[in-house]
Amino acid sequence: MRLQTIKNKLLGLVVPILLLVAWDFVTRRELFSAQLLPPPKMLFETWWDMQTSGELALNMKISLLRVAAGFSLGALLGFSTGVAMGTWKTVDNYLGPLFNGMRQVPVVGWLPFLVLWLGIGETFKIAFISLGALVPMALKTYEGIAAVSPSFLEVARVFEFGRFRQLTRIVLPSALPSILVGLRLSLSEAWMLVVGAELVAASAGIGNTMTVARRLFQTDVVLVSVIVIALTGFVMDKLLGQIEGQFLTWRKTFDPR
Amino acid sequence: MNIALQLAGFIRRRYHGVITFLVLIGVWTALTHLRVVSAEQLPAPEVIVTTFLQNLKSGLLGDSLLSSLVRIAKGFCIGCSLGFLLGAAMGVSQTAERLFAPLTNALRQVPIIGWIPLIIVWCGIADLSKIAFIAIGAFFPMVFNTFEGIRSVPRNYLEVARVFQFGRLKLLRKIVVPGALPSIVTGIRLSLGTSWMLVVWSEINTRSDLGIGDMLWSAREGGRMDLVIVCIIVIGVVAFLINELLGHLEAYLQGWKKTYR
Repeated sequence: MRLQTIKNKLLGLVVPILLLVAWDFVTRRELFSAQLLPPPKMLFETWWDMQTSGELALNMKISLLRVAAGFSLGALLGFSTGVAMGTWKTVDNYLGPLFNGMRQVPVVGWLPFLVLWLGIGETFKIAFISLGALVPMALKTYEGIAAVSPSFLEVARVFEFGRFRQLTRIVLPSALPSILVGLRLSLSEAWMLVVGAELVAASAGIGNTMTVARRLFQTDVVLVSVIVIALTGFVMDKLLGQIEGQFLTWRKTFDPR
Repeated sequence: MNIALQLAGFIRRRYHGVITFLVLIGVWTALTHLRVVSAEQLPAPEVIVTTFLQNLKSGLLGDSLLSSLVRIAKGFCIGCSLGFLLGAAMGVSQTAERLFAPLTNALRQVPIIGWIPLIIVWCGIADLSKIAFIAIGAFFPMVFNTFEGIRSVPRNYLEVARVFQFGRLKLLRKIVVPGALPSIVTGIRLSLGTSWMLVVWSEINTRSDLGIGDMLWSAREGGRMDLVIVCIIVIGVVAFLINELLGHLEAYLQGWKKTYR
């Protein structure tokens, strides 16, 4: 059984290794110029250079701080919106259609206004990221609350819970899985948008590194940045997944998965 | 008469939402007419309407929309069909899954906008790069939803097929495809929605002569906020239509499921 799993895992390496070999072969034969497709070895050297010069760490730090600010703001606002629309029917009636209308517009559409109102500085980037992070969070919180089983609410009524108690003891815990999904969606959205915001207007950050490298035709730097961005996104998502697992241990008793 | 009745019914059911919109437009009108905000910052609602009509009449709006849609059509067709093929292969064959799933999962980790600089280096800034970008964006939702759809066909359906001694082709046609179809349509919806977002991104990052994203960005650079709002509304409406139409198709295709319940 163990052997079988190892074999399956190894099978997954076949295609990437073949691609890598082909890539190496093509660059050795110089079928493409190194400017267009740098050899794999060069990529590693470039990464090492960027790492030792501190350039990579600095830019990543800037981007991550932007994400942290935008994501926490957006997720918090999204959560509040979702809770408000989920718990109060009136709020849902009045604001629901507006929210649903606004969220149809891809976040990129709001760029011109954000730039006009907030300039192209830090405020703009954080606002842009939080706007993107807000939508999935609000939506998933709302959906989670809407799906709370009525029998739970009846229990709350039997125990004569107040509104607040009902919210914190019954509604939010049972909506938690959906809320956590919202959190993950909203983080990955934030991570994508920081790159986007930096492509459009930035003087620093990993997205800016890519833009500058692209203009100078340093494909190796662009490729390294793409890989770093992907890995960072992956690690962030995994970390959040771990936290999710911690929160949802109580649920395992219902769901034998 | 009938339309008036329907409208009245709609308003009676949804009047709360309508009130919000009316209040919002009222505040907006007041703000702009009392000159609390300048016309450069936020143009008045009636200006938006005239700008919309002007651009509709001059054909600029239609042409921009059309050329963006043509780009999407190309990129989406390529990305979506490749995604479908890979997803279907991985769904049907476990060997294909073991071979390709790790690589696909690794590539998926790149936030989609992160591809832009790389694509520009490789494909230039003409239409090709935009189409490639859209194709990449359309590819991933399609792979995973097709795969999930095929894998989620219940085991007992396959057992039924075995009882009836279906051949491979018949199994695919009668069991696997209908079972996976709703999820595949979800994939198409997500991938078309992504394409629509990405065409705007790509047109902002690498300019071309015509396109809705271009129109948005030129309007911004020219300080024509009225035109910007028109573009935002058009972009939103198209996104809504994509979602709505394919959502209905999805619900329709899932109709057969309800009969069992």
